[in-house]
Amino acid sequence: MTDEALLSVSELRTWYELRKWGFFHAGYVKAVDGVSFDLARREAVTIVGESGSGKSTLAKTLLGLVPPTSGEMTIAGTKLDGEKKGKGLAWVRANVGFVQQDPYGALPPFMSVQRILGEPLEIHGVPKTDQEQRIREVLEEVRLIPYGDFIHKYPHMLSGGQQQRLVIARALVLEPKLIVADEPVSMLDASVRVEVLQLLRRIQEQHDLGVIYITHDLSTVRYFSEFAFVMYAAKLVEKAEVKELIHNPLHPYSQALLTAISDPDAANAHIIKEVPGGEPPSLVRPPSGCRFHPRCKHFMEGVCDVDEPPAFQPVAGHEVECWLYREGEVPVDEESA
Amino acid sequence: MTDQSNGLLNVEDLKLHFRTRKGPVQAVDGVTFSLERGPAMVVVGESGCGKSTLARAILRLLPRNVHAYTGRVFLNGTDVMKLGEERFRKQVRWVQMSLVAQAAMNSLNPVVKVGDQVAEPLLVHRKAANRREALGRAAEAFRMVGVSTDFLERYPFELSGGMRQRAVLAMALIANPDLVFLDEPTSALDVLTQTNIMNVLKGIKRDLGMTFILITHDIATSSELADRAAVMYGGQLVELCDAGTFFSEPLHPYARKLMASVPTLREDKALDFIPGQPPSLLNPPTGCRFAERCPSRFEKCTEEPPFQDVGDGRWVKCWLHV
Ligand SMILES: Nc1ncnc2c1ncn2[C@@H]1O[C@H](COP(=O)(O)OP(=O)(O)OP(=O)(O)O)[C@@H](O)[C@H]1O
Ligand SMILES: Nc1ncnc2c1ncn2[C@@H]1O[C@H](COP(=O)(O)OP(=O)(O)OP(=O)(O)O)[C@@H](O)[C@H]1O
Ligand SMILES: [Mg+2]
Ligand SMILES: [Mg+2]
Repeated sequence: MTDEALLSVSELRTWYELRKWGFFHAGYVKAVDGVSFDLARREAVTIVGESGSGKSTLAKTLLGLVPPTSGEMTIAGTKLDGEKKGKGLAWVRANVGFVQQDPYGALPPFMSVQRILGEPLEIHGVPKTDQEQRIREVLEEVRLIPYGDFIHKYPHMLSGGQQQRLVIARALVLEPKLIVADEPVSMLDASVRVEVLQLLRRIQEQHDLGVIYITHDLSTVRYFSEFAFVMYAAKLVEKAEVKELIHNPLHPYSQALLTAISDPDAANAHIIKEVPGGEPPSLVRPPSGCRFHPRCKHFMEGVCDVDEPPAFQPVAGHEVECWLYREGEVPVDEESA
Repeated sequence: MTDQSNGLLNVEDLKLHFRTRKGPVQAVDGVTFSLERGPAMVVVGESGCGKSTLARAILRLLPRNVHAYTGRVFLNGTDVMKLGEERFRKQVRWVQMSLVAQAAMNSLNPVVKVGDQVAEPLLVHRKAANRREALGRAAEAFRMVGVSTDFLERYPFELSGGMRQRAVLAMALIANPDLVFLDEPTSALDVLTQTNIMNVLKGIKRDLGMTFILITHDIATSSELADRAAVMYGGQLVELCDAGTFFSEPLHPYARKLMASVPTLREDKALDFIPGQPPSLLNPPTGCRFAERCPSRFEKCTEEPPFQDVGDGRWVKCWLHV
C-alpha cells in the first residue's frame, strides 16, 4: 500500500460562470483548465504560479470548497465523483487540512485559541476528555509553548507568525493525511517566513503527511519540497524536481520567471533583465493553442497558436507542455546559443 | 554636524509620533541620513517599522493625529521643515520631491481619465500653461514608463494592475522632480510585471539621473535598484551603507539576521530566522530596540546606542560598532 498515490487528479477543470446582470450566462472564468497530477504518500509538492493563475481555485477544488466542472480526483483510494460527492466531501474535510492564504482573515476574532482548535474536534465527535490532550499536542507541535500561555488568547493577541502557526495547528488537529497550504507565509515578514516553512516541513516529515504548498514566490520553493509544478493561466505547464527546474527550466515561461527572480546582490541594480512584456492572459477567453504564445520569444506560427501542447518528457521525470519539445524539435538552449 | 549644502537630501533627527488612545506611537523616532544626487537609496525593514511614515514625514503628508513632528529636512540646502505649508506645497511637494504611495494604483480616481490624473500635478503647480500642454507632457511620461499613449483617454478600471502602477509612476515623474519616493511600487504585481517596472526605473535612473528612494520589505527586490541601503527597525535607522557592502556583509545584528533569513533561489544556504517579534512603537524599549531579540546583546545594550559613522560612508546603530 505504501506506494499507492495519496492523491490523483486527472483532467480537472474548475470554471466559474460569469453572469450578466446576475442572470444571463456571459461565459466562464476557466480558473483551472485541464490539470492532472499525482501525489504520493509523504510527498511534498509545490505549485508555483502568479497571481490569478488559478492556484487558490485548484486548492479549493481539492478541498471540496468549490465543485469541479469536470475531471476526476481520488484521495487515498476514495474517488470523489458526482454521486459520492456528499460522502466524499465529509471524508475530505476530515482528512485534508487547509492552511489559508491570509492568517488575519482565517481566524474568527471572537474565538479563543481553545475554541478555535476545539471546534473541529467537537464536530468530528472527539470525546471531551481527549480534546484537551489533542489541543495541547498540536499547540506544542507548532511551538506555541508553553501551551497554557496561548490557550485562552484571542487571535488579535498573537503576532502574525503566531497566528499563522495557529492556522497550521487547526489544520493538523484532526490528524489529516494531506495538507493544502495556500500561500502560508506570504502575509508574514521575511524574518518569520522561514520559521513557519521549516515548521511545516518538519511536521510533514514527522507525520508522513502529503503537503501541497502553493506559492507565487519561487525562491522559497527549494526550502520546502523536492518537486514543483509551474502553473500558468490555469494549467500546469511544467513539472520537475525543484533542483532540475531551477537549473534547467524547459518552459519559456519558467525560464522567464527564473530570469526575473534574482538573489540579493548589488550587481542586480545594473542589469536590465530580458523578460517578456505583456500581462497574463484573460481566463475567460484564453489565447488559442499555448496560452503563453503571445508573450513567448520562441513562438512558432501555425503551431503554438493552433493546438494546445500536450505534456512532453524531454528529460526523464521532467514534463513540459510546450511545442518546442515535440519529437525532432531543436531544444531551446541550443537554438538560442 | 552634516554639511547641508552638499547633497540632495539631509535629514536630521526626524521624529514623527502619532497620538492614539493608548499613547504616542513613535513611528519615526530620530532618523538621520543624507543622500547625494544620483544614487538610489532603498529603505528595508519589517512591516510596521515606520518605512511609509518616514516618507510621509519627509514629504509632510501628515495625518490629523500628529503627536510630535520635529527635526530638520534639508532639500537642495533649504530647510523645508521651516517653510509654511503653502510654500511647501507650491515649491516642494510634487515639484522637487514626489511620492508613489503604497497601493497608489488602487487610489486613482475611478471617474477621471488616466491622462488627466497624470497631468494634474502640472496644472495644480502651474508648470503647464494649459490642459493641452499638460496632456502632451503626460504622453511623454507615459512613453517613459512604457504605457501606450492610447491609455491617456481611458479610465482606471480599463487598465491592468501593472498599467495602473506605471500610470501612478508617470504622475510622480511628470513634474521632473529631483527626488522620487517609491513606497512598495511593485509588491502587488506579478513577477514578470515587477521586473518590467524595475527595468523602467533603472532606465530612468541611468538616462535622466533621477534620484529614487525605494521603500520595500522585499530584500531581493530592493537589490534591483539600490546604490545605498538603509535598514529600519522599530522606527529608527539601524544601518546605512553602500549596497555592495550591505548585501554581502551587513554589520548590525538585525541586518545580518534579516539578510540570513532571505531565501535564495540558486545558492544553497541554511536559512535563519529572528525569534520573537518587533518592539511595540507605543512603549519601545529604552535601550537598543533590537536588544531583546539580539544574539550578541550585552550589558551596554540597555542604553541607546548612537547612530554613528563607522567609516566608508557606513552608519551603524549598535554598541558593537562604536
Ligand atoms: N468565485 C469566483 N468567481 C469568479 N471568478 C473567480 C472566483 N474566484 C476566483 N476567480 C477568478 O479565477 C481566476 C483565478 O483565481 P485564483 O484565486 O484561483 O488565483 P490565484 O492563482 O490563487 O491568485 P493569487 O496569487 O492572487 O491568490 C482569477 O481570474 C479570479 O479572478
Ligand atoms: N495615523 C496613524 N496613527 C497611529 N499610528 C499610525 C498611523 N500611521 C501609522 N501608524 C503606525 O505607525 C507604525 C509604522 O507604520 P508604517 O505604515 O510607517 O509602517 P511600514 O514600515 O510602512 O509598514 P508596511 O511594510 O506594513 O507598509 C505602525 O505601527 C502603524 O500602525
Ligand atoms: Mg490565491
Ligand atoms: Mg508601508
